[in-house]
Parts: sequence; C-alpha cells; structure tokens
Amino acid sequence: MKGLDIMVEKRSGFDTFRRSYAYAARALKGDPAVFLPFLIFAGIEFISLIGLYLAPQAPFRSVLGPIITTFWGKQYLHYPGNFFLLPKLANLARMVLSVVVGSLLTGIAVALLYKKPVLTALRKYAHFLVVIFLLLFIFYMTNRQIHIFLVKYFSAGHKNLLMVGANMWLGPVSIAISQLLALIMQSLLAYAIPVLILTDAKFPGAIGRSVVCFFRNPLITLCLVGFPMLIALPLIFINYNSVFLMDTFMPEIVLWVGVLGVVINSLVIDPLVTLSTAAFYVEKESNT
Amino acid sequence: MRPLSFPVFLAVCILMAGCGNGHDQYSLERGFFAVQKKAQAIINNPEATPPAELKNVVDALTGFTKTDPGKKVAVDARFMIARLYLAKKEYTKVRETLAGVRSAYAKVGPVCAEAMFMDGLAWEDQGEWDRALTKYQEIMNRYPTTPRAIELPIYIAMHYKEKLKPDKMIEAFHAAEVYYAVLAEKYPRSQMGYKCRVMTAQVQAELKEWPDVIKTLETTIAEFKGNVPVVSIRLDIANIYGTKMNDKATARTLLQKIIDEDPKAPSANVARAMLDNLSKEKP
Repeated sequence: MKGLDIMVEKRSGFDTFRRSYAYAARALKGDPAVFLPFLIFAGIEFISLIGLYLAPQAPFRSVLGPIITTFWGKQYLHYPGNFFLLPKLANLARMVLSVVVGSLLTGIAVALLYKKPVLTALRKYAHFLVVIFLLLFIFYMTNRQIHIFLVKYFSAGHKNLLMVGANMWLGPVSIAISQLLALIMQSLLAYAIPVLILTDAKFPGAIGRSVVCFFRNPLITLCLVGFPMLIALPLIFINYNSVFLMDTFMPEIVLWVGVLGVVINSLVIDPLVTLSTAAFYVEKESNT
Repeated sequence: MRPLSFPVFLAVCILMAGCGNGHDQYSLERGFFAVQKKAQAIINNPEATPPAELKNVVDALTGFTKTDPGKKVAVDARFMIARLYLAKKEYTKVRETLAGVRSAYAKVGPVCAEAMFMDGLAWEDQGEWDRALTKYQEIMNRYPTTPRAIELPIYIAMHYKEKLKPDKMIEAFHAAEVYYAVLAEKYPRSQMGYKCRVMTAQVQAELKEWPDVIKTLETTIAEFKGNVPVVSIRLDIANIYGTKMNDKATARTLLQKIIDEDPKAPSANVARAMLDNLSKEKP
C-alpha cells in the first residue's frame, strides 16, 4: 500500500507539473498578448546589447567611453578587447533592465495570464521593482562574496579546497554554484509576483507568502524553475569558452552568443518560468 | 521628448555606427586584426606559405603603415612586416623594414629600441650571436630607460644559460647587476629606480647570492616605503630565509610580524599560509 501511495504522489507531482505548463500554454493560445511583455523585454535587451557592442564607436563612444575607461580600463574600447567585456556589460545591463523594466513587464504578463486588468500591474510597479531588486541584489552579492572568498583563499597560498584545485573552483565550480544560487533565489521568490497580482499584499507579505509556498512545494517549484534553466546550459558552456571561440573564429562571435542569450533567456526561459509558476500558484490557491 | 523620439534617436545612432567610412580608429583596428591573423598564420608556418600570400599580407600591412604614424596600428604594422620577413628568413628585407621604423620613429626611444632588438634577433637567427650582442649593447647604451633595455641584461645572461656556457652566464649576470645598480643610483626614488632594484634582486637570485638578494630587497623597502606595497617584498624576504637559507626561525619571526601588524589584511593570510607550510616541513 505504501508503494502505491508513493506512486500516486509521484504521479500527482508530475501531473501538477504538466498541468502548470498546459495552463500556461492554453492561456498563451487563448491570448497571445500574454507573450507580448516578454517580446518587449527581449527587444529592449537586444537594443541595449547592440548599444554596448557599439560602445567603442562614434557616437556611442562619447557617452559610454568614459564609463568603460573609468571602471574597466581603456583597453576595452579597442578591437578586439571590447568583446572580452561585452558579456559582462550585457549581464549588468540585463540586471538593471530586469529591475527597472522587467519587473513591470513580468507583472503585466502575470496579470494578463490571470485575465486581470493591466492597471493592476501598473499600480503594483513599486512592489514588483522591490521584489526583483531584492532577488538580483541578494543573488549578485552572494555570488560576489563567494568569488571574493575563493580568490582570497587561493591567493593565500592554498592549493586545494575540498580536494579541488583553484582552476576548477574559479572556473566550472563557480559557474555551477552561481546557477544553483540563481535556482534557489528564483524558486524562493517565484510566487511573489502572482501573490501581488492576485491579492492586496504589499511586497513584504508577497515575499513571505512566496517563501512559504516554496517550502510547501519545494520539489515542484525547483522543477518549474530549474528545467527551463537547463536550456541555458549550452549557452553557459559557450560563454565559458568564449576566448577560445574568439581566437578560433572571430571576436564578433561573442555578439552572436549574446543575441542567442537574449532569445533563450528572454523569450524561452523567462516566459516558461513566469507563466508556469504563476499557473501552479493559481491552481494551488484554488485548491485551498 | 516624445515617446518615439528615443527609439528613433537610437536607431539613427546604430545606423551611424554601422555605416562608418572605415577610417575611424575602431574600423582601422578591426581591419588590422584581420590582417594580423593572416600574418600570424604565415609566421606559424612560413615554409608552406605561397609567395603571393606573403605579398598580399605585406601589401595589406603596408596600407596600415601609411595611416597616421602616431597610431598604434601604424607602428604595429611595420613590426609585423619585419616579423613576416624574419619568419621567411629574408634578412635584408627585415633590416630594410626596421631601418624604415627607426627613421620614421627616430624620436621615440621605445620604438627604436624594439626595432634594434628585432635586428639583433635577425642576427641571432642567422647564427651571428656576436653581432646580435653588439646590437643589444647598443640598445642598453642608447635607450637605457626603455622596457626592452631593462630586460636585455637578463636576456643576454639567459642566452648563455641556454647554450650551457656557465662562465659567460655568470659574467653576464654580474654585468647585469652592475648595469641595474648604476641605473638605480641614477634614478633614485622613481619607478625606473624601483624596477632596477627588483631586477637586481632577480639577478642575484639567479646567481643564488641569497644574502645579497635580502640586502637589495631591504634597500628597496627603505627607499620606496610608502610609495609601493612593500609587504610583498617582506614576504619575499621571509620566503628566502625559510626556503633558501634554511633559517626558519627568522622566517617565522618576519611572518609573525606581518600578521601582527594587520591580522585582517590579505598579506596576513599569505603569511599564515606560509607559516603553515614552514611548520609542515621537516626542521
């Protein structure tokens, strides 16, 4: 009997997972406008990427040149040095855009999914902004602290940490930790925006309820957030080997990888994570 | 600003950037990078390169030499041509190209020093070390403060080390020691002076004259305290006591002093790790 219970539980977990995607797919089919906020965000991100690519050239150089020189150095305003900095700048731009524009567009997408007026999302913009800012700030700072710790640890003369060398820790292991951290952070706050759209909660309450919802359904939330993130793995691998690719082919390959990143992140992963978690949340709420 | 104004402005900017006339700095660098890649392929495999390919690349590089001589690509293109001829063992053409560099950049010491150095390399390639050495000594006399001249005394000594000529090597290292000492005295409390002190210590380390290395490093600390991060030099001194002179007690005292001065500094972490390593080693 116990075995049967486990099977039923497993099937129900998979069914919930499947139903969340089915709900999101139905909503997208019924109202393609749900996808529009993601399309707008991808467009803005694409424009920012092109702007950063053109940073060493006139007329962009006059605006971005002094910033790049001050923070990273003059060598990144020359060919092909600018391509070494481009992925980092694109990442930073994505972070800023996610907070300022992405937060609102995600809110609008969720509101459209729940067939709520767009005005609901506009009214809660400040709360979305705080939620996304906190998510990215904690992720960025934690990641940074881990990196600083690793650099300090190995520059102090240690050869290994947990029997793994510095090259591995500062390379693939760091990337894996960063991805794991992104997964955990996104999972913890995955339901905050649906809560803000569906209820009168303010951002502290929305964050609290999202965290509670995560701990009640940890596995399904991790799957809903984690599976789409797997799509980005080849891209992470390509980015890790960008110097080799630049050397073998041409430096411009970094730009194409960046464009591919915009398409995968903003048009595939973001919609999948946002809509499936929102669908799962509404189903959970209707059941309770 | 009307809502459409910004996207329109951005689109115009992108078009302007994309439709450059190919003569701005960035386009020049991009063009040079492509030619440089072709040149590198020839240098990597000179025997298999057809003469027409070499001519094409040299012609392309010559085009870059005709741009504003103050631009980096103009200088780099000239050196790349010389490197191509060197790879193809066309020594007369190498010297012609380098003579052109020296006449075009007669007032730029580092560029002239590089051109003379490549001339020396060509003599080395031809198996004429003595003529190469004359060139190197000329660089050290005429352009003593250039980066190339600073590296040359050690380069000469390492040549003898490679050729298994220990007497000549020791002689060259001693000559280098004198050369750096003179320069350090001539440019006290300057970046140049600091570099010369560091190079002196490096030469003494090659000769395994450890007490002299420590003396030089201590002089460097006294001269440059407050201007350069001397804690790394102090760590070097401790390391020499611990690993080269087998004086672990002094090494421990020095490392402990670094830790006590600022226990939270990154240098204290390095000192702790070094102390750990000293404890692990057999006394």
